[in-house]
Amino acid sequence: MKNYKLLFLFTLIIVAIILIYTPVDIKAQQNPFLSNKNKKSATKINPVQSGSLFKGVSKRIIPIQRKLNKKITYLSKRIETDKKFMLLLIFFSFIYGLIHAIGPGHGKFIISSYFLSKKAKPIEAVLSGFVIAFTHGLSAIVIILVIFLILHLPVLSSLTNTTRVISIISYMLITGIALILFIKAIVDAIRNNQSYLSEDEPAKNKNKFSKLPAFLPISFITGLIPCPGAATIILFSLSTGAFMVGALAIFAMSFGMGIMISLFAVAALYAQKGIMKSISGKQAIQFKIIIGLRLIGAFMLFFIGLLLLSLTI
Amino acid sequence: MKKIGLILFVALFILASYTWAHPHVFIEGKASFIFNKDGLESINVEWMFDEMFSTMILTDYDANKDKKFSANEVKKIKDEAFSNLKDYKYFTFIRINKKPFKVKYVTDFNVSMSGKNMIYHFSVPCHVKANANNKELILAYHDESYYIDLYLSENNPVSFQNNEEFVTKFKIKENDDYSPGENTILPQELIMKFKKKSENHEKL
Repeated sequence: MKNYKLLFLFTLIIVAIILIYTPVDIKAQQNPFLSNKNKKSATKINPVQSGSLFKGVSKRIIPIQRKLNKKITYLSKRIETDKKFMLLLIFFSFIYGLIHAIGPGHGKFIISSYFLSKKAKPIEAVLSGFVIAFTHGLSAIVIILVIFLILHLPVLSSLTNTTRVISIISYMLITGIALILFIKAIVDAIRNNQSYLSEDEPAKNKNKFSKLPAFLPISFITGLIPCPGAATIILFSLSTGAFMVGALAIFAMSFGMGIMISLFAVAALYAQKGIMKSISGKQAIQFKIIIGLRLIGAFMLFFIGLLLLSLTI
Repeated sequence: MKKIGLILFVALFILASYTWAHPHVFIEGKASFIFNKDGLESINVEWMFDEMFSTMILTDYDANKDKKFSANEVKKIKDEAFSNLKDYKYFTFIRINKKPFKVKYVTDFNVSMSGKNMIYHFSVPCHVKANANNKELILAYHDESYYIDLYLSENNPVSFQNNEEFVTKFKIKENDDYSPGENTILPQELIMKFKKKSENHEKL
C-alpha cells in the first residue's frame, strides 16, 4: 500500500511538472513568419530544457522529419507519372505522422487529462486518439479547400485566422467540459455516488443527450484545430493537381498521429486503472482516490483550456 | 500491468511536456560574409524553404503566377511574412569575440525562387574592424519555438566577398554548451575567424 501511495504522490508531482511546462504546446503551434497580435506568447514562453535526455532524442528526430518532408514532397510529385510510388508515399506519410505527433500539441495533454479521470474502456481511449488525429487532418483539408477553392482567399493568413477562431471555440468548449466534469466530481463526492467504482459501465455515465460514446465530443473538439502540417501537404497537392494524393498522404499521416495520441490516452487510462486496482477491496479509499483523480483530471483540462484560450484571444 | 501502466503514463507525460521535434517549415541556411577595407561589414543571409511552404507563399504572393516575385510582391511578403521575425531576432544569433551581438534590424530583403524552392535573402549589418589578431564571429540560425527547423546547408553553406585583404577561416560544429537563443535542441554553429593580411579563406 505504501508503494502505491508513493506512486500516487509521484503522479501528482508529474501533474505539477506538466502544468509548469505546458506552455510549450502553445508556442509550437504558431507560425512566427506571420504578424502576431499576441506578442506575449511569442516572446516570453520558452521552457525548453537543455542537456536532457529529451534533447538528445529530439536531435535525432528533427533530421528524420527533415528527410521525411523531402521524401513526401518528392513522392507526391513522382506519383503523377508513376503510380507505384503510392505505397511508399503512404508508408512515409504514416511514419511522418507518428513522429510528428510526438511533438507538442495534437491534443495529447487534453486527452490524457480526460482519461486520467474518466471511467472508460481501453478501446475508447484508442478510438479517441484516432478521432482527434483524423479530425485534425480532415479539418485542415476542409479549411484549405474552402479558403483556396471556394473563397479564393490568401491561404497563409486565412488559415492562421481560421485556426485562431476554431482554437478559441475549441478551448472554450474544453474549459466548459472541464468545468462540468469538475462539478460532477464534487457532486458525486457530496452525494457519495460510488457508481464509478462498479466494474460495469453504468448507463448514466453515458452521454445523456445522444447515443454517442462520452469521449467523442472532447475528442472531436480537440481535433477540430487544423494540423498545419496537413494543411501544407493538401495545398501542395492542390498546386500539383493531385488532390487525392495529398488526401491519401494526410489519411496515412493521421493514422500515424492517431497511434501516438492513443498511446497517451491509453497510458493515462491504465494509470488510473493501476491506481484503482492497487487498492482493490478498500472501497472507501478507492472512492476518495477516484474523486481525487477526477478532480485532478478536470483541473488539468480546465487549466490547459483556460491557458490556451488566454494565449489565443 | 498496473505498474507498467503508471510508469508508461508518467514517462509519456514527461515526454509530452517537453519541446520535441515538431517543425512545420524546413529552412536550409547559408551565409555570405561581406568585407570592406576595414574588416567585416555585413552578413548576407540566404534561407531556402522546403517546397511545400514555398508553394504556400507562391500561392498567396505570386499574383501574376509567373513563379517569380516582383518588387511589389516582395514588399508584400516582407510586410506580411517576414517583418514579424523581428520579434524572433530574425532567427539569427551572433556572437563576436564571445560577446552577443543582437540583430535588431536587417536590410536588403529579397525573395527569389530556385527551382521550386523559395529563398529569402537579407543582410545583417555587422561591422567588425579587423587587425593582426584573429576576430571570431559565431553565427547560428534558430527558431526557439521549433515551428521552423533551420539548419546550415550541406552544400556550400559559407562564402566570402571582398575578403582579399584578410585571412578568413570557418568551421561548422555542434555546441551543446551554448544556446544561441535561450536554448537549442540542435545547436549548430558556424564559427568564422578573420584577421588582416594575406591569402584566402581555408577550412579550419
